[in-house]
Amino acid sequence: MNKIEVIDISLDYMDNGKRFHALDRLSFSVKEGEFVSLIGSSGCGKSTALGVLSGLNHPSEGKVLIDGHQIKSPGSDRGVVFQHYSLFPWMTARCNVILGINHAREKIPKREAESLAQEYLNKVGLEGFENKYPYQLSGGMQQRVAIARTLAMQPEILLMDEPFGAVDAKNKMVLQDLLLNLLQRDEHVKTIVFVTHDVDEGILLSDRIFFMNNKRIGQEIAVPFSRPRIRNEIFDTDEYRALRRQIMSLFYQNVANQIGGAEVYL
Amino acid sequence: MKKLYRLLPHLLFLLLVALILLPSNVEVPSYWEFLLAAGAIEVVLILKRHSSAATNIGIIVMAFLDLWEYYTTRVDGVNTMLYPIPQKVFALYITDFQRISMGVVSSLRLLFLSFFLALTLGIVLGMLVGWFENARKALFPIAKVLSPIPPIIYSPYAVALLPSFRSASIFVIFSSIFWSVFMNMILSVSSVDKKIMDSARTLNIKTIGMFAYVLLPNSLPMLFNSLTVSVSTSFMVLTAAEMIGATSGLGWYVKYYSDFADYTRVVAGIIVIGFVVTMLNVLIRLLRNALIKWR
Ligand SMILES: Nc1ncnc2c1ncn2[C@@H]1O[C@H](COP(=O)(O)OP(=O)(O)O)[C@@H](O)[C@H]1O
Ligand SMILES: [Mg+2]
Repeated sequence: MNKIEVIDISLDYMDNGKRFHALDRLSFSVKEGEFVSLIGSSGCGKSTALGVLSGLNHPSEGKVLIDGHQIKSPGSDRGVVFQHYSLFPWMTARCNVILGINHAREKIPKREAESLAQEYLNKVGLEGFENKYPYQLSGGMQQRVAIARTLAMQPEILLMDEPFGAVDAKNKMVLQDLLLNLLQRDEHVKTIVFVTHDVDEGILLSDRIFFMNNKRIGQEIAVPFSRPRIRNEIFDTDEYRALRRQIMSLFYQNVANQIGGAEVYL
Repeated sequence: MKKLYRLLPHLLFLLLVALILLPSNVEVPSYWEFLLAAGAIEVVLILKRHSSAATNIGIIVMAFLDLWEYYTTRVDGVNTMLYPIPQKVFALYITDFQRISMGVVSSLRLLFLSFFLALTLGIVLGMLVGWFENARKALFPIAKVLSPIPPIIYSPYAVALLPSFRSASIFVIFSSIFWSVFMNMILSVSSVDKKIMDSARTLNIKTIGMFAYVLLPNSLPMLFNSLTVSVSTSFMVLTAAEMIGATSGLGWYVKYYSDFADYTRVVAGIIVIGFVVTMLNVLIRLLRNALIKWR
């Protein structure tokens, strides 16, 4: 059975009395344990779709099923990491993580929550920074805390919206490897939906890539590499280059369509 | 040049000491209270000597004390009833100690009680009204109409209307603080960063937790800003109210002796009021630094 089933969701934003159609009968499904990426040019509705999955956005039509049950609101079965640092500025790294743990599970003893928080902060490499406030941490470090917080809540599903989009190139690679590593070892998170506009990132991380186009899934691309994955081994293969070319051509096509079919040089 | 400028407040202090100690036109029964007060200011200036703001303030304060001392003790034909001699003013803090300190206690008691009521109600109601959109849309415009009416205006009416002076002044001081806390709270609750709210909702934080972990801490910095302003206005309102109906307190003290044309006591009372307000502001700043560590 599919873990996540997105069935024909449409969503309209109301912006100053004007209706904006952001999703148009979007459908896809994700198997348990699968890592899928939503890729597409910016403004195509990736965040909106993820917002529906997380329960923050309500579709005007269609529904999302998780384990066969329709979702209506955020729930502790799903953890979300946003692009922009979503930590509470008034709490230290540790308190941010503990707050997440306390709200994900009923009545967890204080001692246990603390050691769990420490465990996950260690996992993302933040030993020694537990008592720092977000403003004292770099963007990449804040994102590590956000990841630690979400993983510590031990959700079955992880939803990530361009989590490394605002991190510099070098840190981005470090964080991608960290995520690959954590997911291989973490026994709690099983299913991931990851939003990105970075083709390399999508290929490196995903089992399947959904290319979004016209407010729905335009194309589905399987990524055949076995796990555990090692960046340099993958990036050197012909398969990788072919995949990359395929996805890039979808982007070009997209741009060409938008500007009226004229020949495009990029 | 710069060095001289940094030394200036201290030179002015030395000048003041000289003016106090050297013989003058007038006889004063005791001068050491004034000397001590000036010395205390000098100690603060020495402690804060690296702050240029403190240097500037020091220059102004010391120059003022010099002028005051010089004018009242060295210039011929000055009416020292209208322009009290500083030594006499400061000597009152010993001879009139009991009445002045009782005034401080009585004023502060009213102030703290009203502050407590206004802060609790303002924060709780402001959060609730800010959170529920319908309540906000109905009550915010009403608050906007009522809040700018200066409480000093209706303080005589409140004193007449309410059963005791105490309840009247609590009401008036309360209203001088409540509105700004209430309205600021509504604004900050309804304008929390959407990213923070989304993040809180995906963490499954329910309404009570929202108030405790998100809305309240989010509004603290702004709350403290409005508090600094509120302290000054509330003190103004308090002293004005005391001038109307009280039988103790700092406002009463100033008003009472004005009626007897005892301007030495009037000036002494005014200085105490300034001092108390300053101390309250220091208290608020300490509290803010203790509570807001995240920026
Ligand atoms: N709250 C909103 N109100 C109105 N329009 C919105 C809102 N959020 C997003 N949109 C619009 O919906 C479209 C999809 O946005 P989004 O899902 O954020 O795109 P992506 O994440 O793919 O860049 C964009 O054109 C954006 O301008
Ligand atoms: Mg987006």
